[in-house]
Amino acid sequence: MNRSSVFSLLLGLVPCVLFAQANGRPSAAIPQASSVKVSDPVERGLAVFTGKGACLSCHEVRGHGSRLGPNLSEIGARSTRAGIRNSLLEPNPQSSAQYRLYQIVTKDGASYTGKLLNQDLLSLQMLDTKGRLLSFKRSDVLEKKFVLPPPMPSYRNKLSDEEVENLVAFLLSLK
Amino acid sequence: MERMCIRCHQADVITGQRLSRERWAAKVDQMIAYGAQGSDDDVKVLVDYLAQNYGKSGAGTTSVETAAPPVRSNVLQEGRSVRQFQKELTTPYDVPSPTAVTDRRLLHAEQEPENWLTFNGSYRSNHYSSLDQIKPENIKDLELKWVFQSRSLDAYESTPLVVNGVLYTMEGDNVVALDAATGRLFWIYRNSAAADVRFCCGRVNRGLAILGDTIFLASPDARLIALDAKTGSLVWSVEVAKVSSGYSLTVAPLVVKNKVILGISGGEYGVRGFIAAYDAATGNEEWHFNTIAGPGDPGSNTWGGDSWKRGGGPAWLTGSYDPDLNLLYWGVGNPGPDFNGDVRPGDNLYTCSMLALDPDTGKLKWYYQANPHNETDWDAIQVPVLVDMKWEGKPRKVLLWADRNGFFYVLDRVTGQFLMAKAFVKQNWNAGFTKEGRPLLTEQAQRTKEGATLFPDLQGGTNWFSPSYSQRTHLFYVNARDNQSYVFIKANQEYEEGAEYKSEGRAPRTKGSRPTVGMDEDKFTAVRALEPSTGQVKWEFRLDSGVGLATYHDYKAEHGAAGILTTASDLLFTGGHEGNFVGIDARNGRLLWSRNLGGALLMNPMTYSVAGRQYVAVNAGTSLFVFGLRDADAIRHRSEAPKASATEAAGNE
Repeated sequence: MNRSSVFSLLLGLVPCVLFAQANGRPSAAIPQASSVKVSDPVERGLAVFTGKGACLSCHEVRGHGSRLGPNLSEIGARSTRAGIRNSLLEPNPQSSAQYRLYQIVTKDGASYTGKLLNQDLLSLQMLDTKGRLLSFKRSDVLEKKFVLPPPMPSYRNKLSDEEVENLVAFLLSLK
Repeated sequence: MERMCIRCHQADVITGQRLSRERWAAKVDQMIAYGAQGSDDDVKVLVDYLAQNYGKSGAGTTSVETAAPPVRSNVLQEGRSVRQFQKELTTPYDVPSPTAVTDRRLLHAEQEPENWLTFNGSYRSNHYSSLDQIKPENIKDLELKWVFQSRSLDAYESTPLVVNGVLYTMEGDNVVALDAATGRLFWIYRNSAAADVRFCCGRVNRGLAILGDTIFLASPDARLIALDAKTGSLVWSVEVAKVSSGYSLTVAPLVVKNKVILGISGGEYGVRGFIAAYDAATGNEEWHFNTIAGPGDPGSNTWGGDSWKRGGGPAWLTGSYDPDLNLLYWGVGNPGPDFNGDVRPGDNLYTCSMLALDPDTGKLKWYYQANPHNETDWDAIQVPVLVDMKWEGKPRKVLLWADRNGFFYVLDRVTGQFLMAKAFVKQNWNAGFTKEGRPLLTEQAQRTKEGATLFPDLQGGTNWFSPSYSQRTHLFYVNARDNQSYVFIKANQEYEEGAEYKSEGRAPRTKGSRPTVGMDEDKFTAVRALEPSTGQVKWEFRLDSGVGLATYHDYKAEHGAAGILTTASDLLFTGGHEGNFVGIDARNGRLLWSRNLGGALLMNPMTYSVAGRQYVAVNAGTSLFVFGLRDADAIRHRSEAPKASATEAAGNE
């Protein structure tokens, strides 16, 4: 499965079940209403999720997106409408702190961004934005720091009320 | 500015600043990284506008910027292009990651010896690596690079996988991803497997499989689990069989194409064994081959009554795969109950057999049964090694196989034809073979009320630890156990679901507390190098793992040894339960190097390289030890780009 297939799903061109590419990461289908209606809030929420909201930049839904933020594959089963809406409009900096991005610049000038996994006196381990597990010797590192602020933005004033509600409807459908 | 900035900021936050063009450009880039939307042209126009109107020397303004030093600490601003940074952030990983292990990579695993992609190292399962940086001339310079201490007290029998510098292994039931060069942890998957699973021989796991960016774990509680190889998070988990019926899993799965294939454990608990394949993407069972022929199956007439229902036949070690023939080779274990065949009259197909299956459908293509109607627990699960060699002057695709019953077999792997069998340990059960390969039994193989002495012992001439076939020496290496058992008088036992079902009798004890195993002090384990075409022993290297050292690791010491690894520099690595990790000259059996690691060596040694440096890994006790050359030495002996191992085609004379 790739992003284009998500978009084609958006357009109602493919049935609801999608599979991984032969060599890609296995993934289950994103659940969808079987009758695709453009007016469906879930459908329009998916459009916001994959489009304007750019949520896949940080989040994963069943094999799509990025591993850097919390996995939202079953967020609908774990959260409530009010809870999801609040997370979109007033993201909690405390809870998202663990997902802060980390950046390492090595002495040879290369720069890496991702999730800091582990560190000790001599080394640092990271999952970078390209999906690589990387290990650095501290002696090779020129600079390192958390990228501020925490990556989860507030969507207040970035999405319309209707877009937020559609996005919430889509997220609630992920069970 | 309105479109790109005012969506998030009050205007005076921007207009109140006075910055140089460079600083404004950097600021805009930073905002883009935080989610501001705009094209390259938008950015240019915006920076021009800001610099002109709110610049450091803008008309009618006073610079508020002091002569601050460059913001050195802000790597975001000074590193590389912020646009590049943003692009990275929006790269979805449903595009396979650069390290994804495609099925094509698995097919050609031998061409990337820096990695170890399957339990057996390659589909041919020869436990041979074309790495040659560590060699007889410098093996004395091997030093310990790192140790991974498992927090589990269960036996460490898991062969790690290595993929592009990441080493995946087990910590008891858990899975860990480590930096293969330093041993530092990337992630751990804490597997909450049921605690009440029954195992005949310890709660062990032999290792993992990988496809794409997904790791597959055969969990002890008979579940197949898929994990994200990058994070260790759960992708899916499916039940393979009922723990309450005596099933368990100890096997390292094997990925073929898009399927994850495994064999079940539980042969001592009256299970009906099977080999099954699961869709790698979903965990759905794709096919299921019962290793016990039931009603309607060919071979069902080899089971009296309904004995097939609890006929055993586990398949608890990873098989091999020939992509050209599209055949999967997998060994099947003992029938149940283990020690009393009276309740299961017949040959008991397909127990104690080597199977060739179609990996797409699970359909049986051929089989060879090494021990029909076995009553000595001689699982035939040992690793089948696939070799193309000359047989009686003609090229032939063969399967080399050192069975627990003490015989080295050569089978035609296209047809299953029996070509040869020769004992590689002392044995007294076999009086020869029919032309078709059916064994003829001696009197010693028959049970008597008094019990009898049997060679090899019940643990076998060898066991699950891997053999190796070197593409340079063309020798087959096996850790051979010369030992004897006092076989039991048959006992009768009622079957009870989930309970041990072995019909284990008791023989008169001679000495020691273990009547099943001979305690003679001249019994030992040895590496034996066999000529595949004759089965003749070319050389032998005795390990110290005799039964006299049983105190080293409880019953495990009876099993003999670790597996065997050979390399393109004619080195052979192995070890025993006394704790010695040894490097031997694969050409002549000469000991070149040895380290005592202070615990029983159980797993199959494996090798890999990171950044041009070769490592060799083996367990001892419950820890994983990783060796490499001293730094200066490694640099001096750094190999050229790894060569494809093409020597196999030259065949074996």
